[in-house]
Amino acid sequence: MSEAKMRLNNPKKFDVGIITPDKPYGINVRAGTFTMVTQDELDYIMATSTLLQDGVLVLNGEKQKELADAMGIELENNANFMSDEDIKKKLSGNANQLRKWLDSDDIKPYVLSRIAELAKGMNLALSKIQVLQEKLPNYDFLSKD
Amino acid sequence: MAIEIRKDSQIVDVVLAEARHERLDSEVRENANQLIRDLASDPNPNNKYQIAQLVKFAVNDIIKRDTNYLDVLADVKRVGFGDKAEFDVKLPGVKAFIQAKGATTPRTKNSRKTLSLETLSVSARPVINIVELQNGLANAADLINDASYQMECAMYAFIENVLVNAADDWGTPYYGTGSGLVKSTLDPMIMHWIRAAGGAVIFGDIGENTKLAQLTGFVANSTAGTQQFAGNIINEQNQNAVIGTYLSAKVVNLLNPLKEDGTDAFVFDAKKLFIVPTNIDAGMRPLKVVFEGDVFSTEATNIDDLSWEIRLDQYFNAAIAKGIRPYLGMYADSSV
Repeated sequence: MSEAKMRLNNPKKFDVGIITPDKPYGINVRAGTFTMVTQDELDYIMATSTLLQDGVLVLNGEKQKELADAMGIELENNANFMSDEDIKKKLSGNANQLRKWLDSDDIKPYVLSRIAELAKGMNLALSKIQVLQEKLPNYDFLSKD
Repeated sequence: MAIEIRKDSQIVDVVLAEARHERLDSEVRENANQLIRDLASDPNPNNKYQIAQLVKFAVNDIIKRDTNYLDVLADVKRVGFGDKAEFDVKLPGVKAFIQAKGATTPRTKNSRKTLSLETLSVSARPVINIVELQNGLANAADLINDASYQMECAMYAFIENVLVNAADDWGTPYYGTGSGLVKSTLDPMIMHWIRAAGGAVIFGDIGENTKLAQLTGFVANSTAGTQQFAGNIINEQNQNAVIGTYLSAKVVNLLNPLKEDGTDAFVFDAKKLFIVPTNIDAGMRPLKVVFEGDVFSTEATNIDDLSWEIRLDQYFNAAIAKGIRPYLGMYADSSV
């Protein structure tokens, strides 16, 4: 009987390549698509790369929660795994809370730029823009384009 | 007789060579150190200014020489103090329309925007005991080496951060990642520029470039699964540690200096590959870097502890302006 497979999603805007023991030359998981992997393959990807730890690739629902627990990651508070709605909630807090959140996690660049894009559409207070500007000194939060 | 140190003075080259740990004739080295000791032993304002000038010229030269990172990846402008650099960014412009004969064609115009960057300062403030400098216990070359490396590391970390923070937002085919170099992810990124610009050059740290050879193999029989490599690829890899060409793209090593902080870390992230389209003007590159003036120095002596300090500053800034598209690709190797 073949081993049960789970869905490994690439929700990002860019392609992600993965190498597994039986695919040593790798396969490409295109942006916005998924691939099916076994538990062994998942373990191998986790052992050889940071793609799952950094939230580049994610599992579905409960499986992702189990994986995050195993890695010691709090999904609700880790920006690398948050949905747009959760990020907007964090951006709605006050400037001190925002600073604490941005300083507390090892936030990956692709998440920072997503946070910036979302912040730009939210008409935030200047104090919060200043906190964000410290993290992204060259991002233009004020222009319309 | 008052000594005046200029940019092209021989002592600048000697101290520079000493700071870079280059081999030097001992007499030449001693003469240079003696001159610095002579200047320090009579610490009048002019002499201290001359030593600060010497440090400034040497630091300036070191900072400009150590890597080709900016030359190959950025659109760099150097302007005078007080001047502003303007970068021209092309935006989506003229469009064509299919419509009924005689209908009015909507007007579109060629569109550009200019990006002007305010500069920041990368600054170091090395301090030295004036008595130690007078009697030769402290070495000006060490001071120059430390100051320039620290300024350089801070500046390049900033510039790299600007690029890396923006690149993943460009999406496919300008950005890709993988648990190692994955051919089916990397090849379309290179192929994109072969189609769009006629060719590409791959720039990367030698550690990453050396992995490209593994991607050149092919499996003759899918059931056998043994990867085959061309003989010349194996020889080239053995001789040069990297192959000269991958998928028609020239493979070039980025000069990645070692950090002088006691670790074996490098200045730039060694796990990135940059795919730069050929035949594209440097002005189209998305990474814009401006340097305002050269490194400049100010110095002061502290009467309390006889310390003499030089403050070195370089004004610069970096930003991303991608315009129609970023004329650069970046592959991040996420393997551990």
